[in-house]
Amino acid sequence: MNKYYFTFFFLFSFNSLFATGENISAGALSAAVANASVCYSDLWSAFNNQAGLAGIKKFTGGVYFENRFGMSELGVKSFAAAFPLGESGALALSGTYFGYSLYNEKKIGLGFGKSFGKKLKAGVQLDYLSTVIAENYGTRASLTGEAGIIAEPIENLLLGFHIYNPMRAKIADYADERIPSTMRLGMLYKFSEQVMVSVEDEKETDSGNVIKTGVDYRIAEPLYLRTGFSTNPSHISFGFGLKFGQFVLDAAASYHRVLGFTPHISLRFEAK
Amino acid sequence: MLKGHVFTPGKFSQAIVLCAMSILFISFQSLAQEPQQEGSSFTCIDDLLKEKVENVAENSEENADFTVLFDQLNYYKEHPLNLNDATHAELEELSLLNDLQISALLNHISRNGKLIALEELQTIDGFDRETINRILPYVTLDKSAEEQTITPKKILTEGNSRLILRYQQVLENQRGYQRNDTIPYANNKWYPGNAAKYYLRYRYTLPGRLRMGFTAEKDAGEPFIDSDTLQQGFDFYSAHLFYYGKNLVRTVALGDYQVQYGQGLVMWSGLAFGKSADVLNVKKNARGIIPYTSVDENVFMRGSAVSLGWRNLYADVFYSDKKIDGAITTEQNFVSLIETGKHRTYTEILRSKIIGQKIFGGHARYSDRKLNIGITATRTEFGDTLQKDLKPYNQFTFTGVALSNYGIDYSYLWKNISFFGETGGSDNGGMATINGALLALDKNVSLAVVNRHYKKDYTALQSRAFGENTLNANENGTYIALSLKPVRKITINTYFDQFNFPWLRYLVNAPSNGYEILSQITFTPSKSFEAYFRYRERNKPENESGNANPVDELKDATQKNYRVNLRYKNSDEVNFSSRLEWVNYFKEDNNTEYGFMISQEAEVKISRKLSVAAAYILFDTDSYNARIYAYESDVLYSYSVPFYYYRGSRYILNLMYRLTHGIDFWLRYSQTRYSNRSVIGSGLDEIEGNTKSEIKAQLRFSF
Repeated sequence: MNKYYFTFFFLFSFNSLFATGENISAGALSAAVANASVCYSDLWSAFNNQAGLAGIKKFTGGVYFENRFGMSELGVKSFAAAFPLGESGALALSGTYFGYSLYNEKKIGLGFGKSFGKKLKAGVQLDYLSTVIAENYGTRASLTGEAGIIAEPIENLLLGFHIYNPMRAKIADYADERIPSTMRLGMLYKFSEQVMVSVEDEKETDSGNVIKTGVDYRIAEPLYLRTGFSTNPSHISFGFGLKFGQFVLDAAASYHRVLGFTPHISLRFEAK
Repeated sequence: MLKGHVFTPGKFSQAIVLCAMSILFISFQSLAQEPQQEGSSFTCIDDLLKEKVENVAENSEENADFTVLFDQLNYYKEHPLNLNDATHAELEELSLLNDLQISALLNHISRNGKLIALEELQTIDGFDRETINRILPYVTLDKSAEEQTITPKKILTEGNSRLILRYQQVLENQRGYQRNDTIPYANNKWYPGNAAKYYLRYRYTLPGRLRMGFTAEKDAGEPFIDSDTLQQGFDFYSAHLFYYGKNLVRTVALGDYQVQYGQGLVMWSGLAFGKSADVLNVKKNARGIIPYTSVDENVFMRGSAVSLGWRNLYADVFYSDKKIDGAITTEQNFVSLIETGKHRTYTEILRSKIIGQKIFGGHARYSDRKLNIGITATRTEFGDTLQKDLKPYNQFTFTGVALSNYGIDYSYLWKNISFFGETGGSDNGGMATINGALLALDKNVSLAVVNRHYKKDYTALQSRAFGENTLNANENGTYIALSLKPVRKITINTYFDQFNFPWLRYLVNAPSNGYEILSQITFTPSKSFEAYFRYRERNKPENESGNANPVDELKDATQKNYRVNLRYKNSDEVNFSSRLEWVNYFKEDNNTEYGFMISQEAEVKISRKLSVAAAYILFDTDSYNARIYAYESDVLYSYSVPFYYYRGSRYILNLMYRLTHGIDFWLRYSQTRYSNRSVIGSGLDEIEGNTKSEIKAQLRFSF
């Protein structure tokens, strides 16, 4: 038991690695490329950049699990389901549970992504957040939103931008505690059908600037290999993706310089 | 007490010296022979190699001899490798091509027949213009004259020789040279020798069949002929004789040599390149038994070695027995090794060549074009029991009298992926392993990943595998590197290395971890112009400074380095390069320390006989922590990587003149002037004043 109290102390005292209400990304693909995922278009765009939802043409659903630093108390469980709406848009419902009975954060999101011609996609999402701290602290809930765009100004070069909680929703009056805002700006280049390289910058209100790089390589038709690294704090990650029929399984392992390994796994299903 | 430092050559090395000398004199008579055409006048290496040697310099002690890193390239410069006949092993030895490029080249030749022109290289996967430019000085398509038999006539007529004489001296008066006979020599207050450094080197090569060499050196301050210290002649001699065969016996080495196997985890004598902007070049290409040509006086093998080969199987054995420098402190009862190679003061001479060191072992290997598997075993025995001043941090480093190491190494090429690695053990139970892969994801994207685990008690005294520490131990890490060509003319190289040290290190009183990032963008708009921008960030915790408490806390120390480098090169005639470099060093709770350097270099070939190189540098750094390393132009076969700190200026004038066919002369003058120092250096090397100048002269006879 002492182990996680210590970890909490450690995390909060050093770095607001996850302040309350922080935007938690999802999908083991994103984790494998060090979360340099703002330009990706898939189901997990519901977490990473809602503009990416615009690419979804069929019903898609999936689940994601993460065991941060190998501790179940720091687990992340997420789901997402996307429904195509008309020719160029898609609606997504997503949810996340982070933590355990004594401390947890929940997020429910309703997002929509739409493409405007071939070169531009945009998306928005409304989020309901709640934080539970056990014993006498109780529950706090708040509403916030996020939005993003993905553009392809030059063939095979994508630019992505995402903002989370721009209005800085308040959690508590005490010390004017607010949910941090996050901005992400990224670039993805498709070198070929097999190889994509992405670079991204992420800044959260109260923590340092993070630069991330990811490589996504399709080594053979059903198998993808991925790696990435990010700074501040330094992180490296590896992962793979496997397609079988209508399912896609992604797995990743990331390694934090001080706190160690985190396993990530996600499974996605796409209707025929 | 002064026994031991006087050189007493063993019988075989005496024979080598005699043999070398007689060839030298006979060959002088046939000097009329046409000497081989040579490209550059100075030690011209490309920017990537410069950067690599700068990184080696940062991690080695001052005045390390880098010759050994370039010996093979110098050899290929004088005897270009014929790409059409080159074997996989020879292409690896070139050390400029990675496994995927080598395999693509060999496949291209076996599929399309021999290359007709070097331009054809551009059609091979993985060969971009930069790569081709890098290898051009060292390769050819002309049939090289490979000798099948060795006859005395061929040795005399078809081999070639190089004799190099070099003189080098700091011109200012340093404290140690103010000889004062009223103070006894034993007080270590003055040097018995003069401030000149003499260097003599002779090489004989019969391409592919014989190599022979002799090197002698006297460092500054060492006596040359001195009755007090009984010195008669040079302080250091080295000689080697190498025979290369095509049948069962592949190599026979006598005298001084080096041994390299696998990834350097078990056996790699001498220096090795580490992390650099050449980010994909992380696999070491071991060359087995190679001649020793450097003047590092302690780190080499002296004895004999043999390499046998049969079909795809190879076996090597080596034996070395020599005396090395060491310090014996009787009161504390510890014995340690000293690697400076300087024998000037009473104490230094007393410590010279007093510890016997035997190194022997063997290596067996299966090798084909795709797969290499090798095993290595080696044992080091000392004449004295090595003991040390035991501190918490050095608990697991070597003590005792003997050490055995063994290891297994592999490399395997599968499609567009090259795997490599080595796992080693030491007889105290320590283990270490390194494994990596190089992937050509696309013709414009390559990725390298290397993972290392060196246990804290792994002990290998000749290890040089990839990592942060000089010897491989107490380190885990993962390295990811990426080389991208998003558009023509632009290359982006980047690596990220994250590591941790499970045990304490010198001046780091707790387990620690850190990272290093490098990113370099190179813009090559034309053949003659290249510009790059480089960013590097290194982070490693260190003990807090100025701490009076009994416990040292660790503080993150981050060094950031920004560099802009421009190069304009017009054929071989004109070569300009400019550099701006900024460093900032920040340790938690301290002020940031800054460093800056600007330099301009020009190399001009004025006529067929005369070439001139000049450089001017201004530097301004707050401290030693913000020092800047920069490779600079030097006379041929000599490598200089000074580092700059404090504030001041430096210039270099380097001149090469071809006196006649086969005789070249170099003269180099360099001067550093500090504007905020009135004393340079410390101890016996201290100069009173703000200026340090050095002159270097070199003569080369080629015949």
